[in-house]
Amino acid sequence: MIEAQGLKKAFARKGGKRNDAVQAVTDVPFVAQDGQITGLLGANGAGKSTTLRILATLMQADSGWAKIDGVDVNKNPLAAREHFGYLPHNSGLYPRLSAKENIEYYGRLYGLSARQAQNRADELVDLLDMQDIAQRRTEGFSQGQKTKVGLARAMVHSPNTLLLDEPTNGLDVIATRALRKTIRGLRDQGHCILFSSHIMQEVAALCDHIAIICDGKVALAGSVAGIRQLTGQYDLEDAFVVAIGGKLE
Amino acid sequence: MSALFHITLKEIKDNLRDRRSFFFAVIYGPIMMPLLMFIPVILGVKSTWIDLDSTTELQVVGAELAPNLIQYLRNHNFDAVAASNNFKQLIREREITIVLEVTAEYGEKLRDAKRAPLLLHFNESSKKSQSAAGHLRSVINSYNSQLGYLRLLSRGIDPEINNVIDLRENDLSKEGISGLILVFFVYFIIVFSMMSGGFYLAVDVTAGERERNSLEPLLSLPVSRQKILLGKWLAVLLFVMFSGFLSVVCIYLILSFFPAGAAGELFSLNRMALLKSLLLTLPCGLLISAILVAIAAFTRSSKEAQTYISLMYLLPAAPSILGQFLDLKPNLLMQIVPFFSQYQLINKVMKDETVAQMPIILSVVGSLLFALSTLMIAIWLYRRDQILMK
Repeated sequence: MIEAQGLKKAFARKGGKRNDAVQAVTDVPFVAQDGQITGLLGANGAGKSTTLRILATLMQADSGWAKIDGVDVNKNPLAAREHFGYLPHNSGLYPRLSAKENIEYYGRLYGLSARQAQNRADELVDLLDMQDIAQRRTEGFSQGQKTKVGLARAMVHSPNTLLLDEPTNGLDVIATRALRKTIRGLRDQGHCILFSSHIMQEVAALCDHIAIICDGKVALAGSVAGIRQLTGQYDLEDAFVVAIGGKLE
Repeated sequence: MSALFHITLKEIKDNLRDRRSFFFAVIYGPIMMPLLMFIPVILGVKSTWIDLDSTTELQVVGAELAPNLIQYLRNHNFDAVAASNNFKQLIREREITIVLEVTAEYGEKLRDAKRAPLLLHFNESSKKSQSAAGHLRSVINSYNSQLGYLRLLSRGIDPEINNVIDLRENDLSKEGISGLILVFFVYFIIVFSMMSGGFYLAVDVTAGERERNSLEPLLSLPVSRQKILLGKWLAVLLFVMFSGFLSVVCIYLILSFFPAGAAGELFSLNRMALLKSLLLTLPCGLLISAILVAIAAFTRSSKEAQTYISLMYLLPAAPSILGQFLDLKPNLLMQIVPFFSQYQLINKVMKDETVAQMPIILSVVGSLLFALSTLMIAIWLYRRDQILMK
């Protein structure tokens, strides 16, 4: 489970001083429950990635707090990291290592023994249906294959929470549908999944709960049905525009 | 501790699969550098080297006019043959080195006890011609004094009367010019190999990792950034040390496989001195790998990192150049300065001079302190939020 309240992060403008700062995430309160897929929906630059980075302990928030499975990410980042798996924007694999080696390397860094890491990698290869690419170096993998390996790597220590930063970016229809199926399967096993995207259809198709971020604030949060009701729009795209204060044509 | 070890292992495995890293670590610094530096010098020496035991052919014009001279030359390993007609052009074109011309009046003047003219044709712009001319000059000079000696004797005069001053030369420099070259080569090749050995790996494991987007997930693992950086530094260090070691092996092989004679006379090969030089440079390896990692952590892309690191290649030369330029007399305190102190120590070791303990201790401590501070800077760079920005 993820809980966050009042997160703030300021970035210095290029060549400027810190008090001449860009506020990236201001005041994002939200909760992502176990056994649910929570979508973080927002336009490019709205603050989705920064929020995820703060949750993934890659950045310290200037103020506010966030907890993953009850562990404060700002105060106790090393312990918090045991509780989540993080899939960044472009998977970030090592091209000269094979898919399995990529997974096993992370396993070792999470403290698994060589044998445990191997077994777990085999399990994940089966789970994500990657037998054909497991022994190949990841250089030249398709985006879909990379995402799969990245996801397997994020799950190597069997975390309860998964933070996925725009995982369907660059995937074709078939790969997207396969990934959705995988993510739903993980939800059904009781995982808490936080999923960021700027694509409405993606979020509508997958998420149980949505938080719409606009200018670093959570403009609206609720179930898909709830958001439709609140904005009075059946089409989720229209609902999004209304939620961020825009005008419908 | 084990996470650090896994990071080091992975970086080494990863980069052994990269041909570029392998090229820089094994081929470029340790093998190509010594070859590129030694071969021209050795070949250059060979061209000016005169083997006093072998017979050289000497083209002579008018050999029949001076049979005694020709015999004397033969005794001194110059085999006279008739000169070609166009010998002047041949010398100019460097086809032949020198030609000795016996003038028509040579015999007559010699009989009249006057100065007998000989003509030496050579080419000042050719090193080979220069050295051959020098060799012939010395042989003819000795022939000259021999004849002069006989002339004085025949007139009942003590030949010693002609020798007023007895100048004896005593070169006290142990190494001569060739030794100086060797010292500089050994120092430069070891340090340069270390740098190029870690160069590609350092760029790949930090700046390259940022570029590939693989740094972000790595930093979200339950391993502190300090450990991640130290793991990477350790991998770079191993490459650096390996390249340094390999370069010394290479220097040794090049020098020992070169045909005896020229190279052997020029560089007296001392295995112990080479080994000591390597040991003295090892603390430098700690510093070099720390600098490489720090630069790569500071820069945002491989390209940027490569630019900065190329500038770093000036670093090992800087203290020595400054020392020469400012004409500093090396004192004990200056032994703290990395690179400078290693150069000084290798200088002494290669010349087989005794090295006191204190300069060695200062050199090691100095390099370690610099390495540690650079490493702290690298760790600080890794802890900043900016490490994720592109």
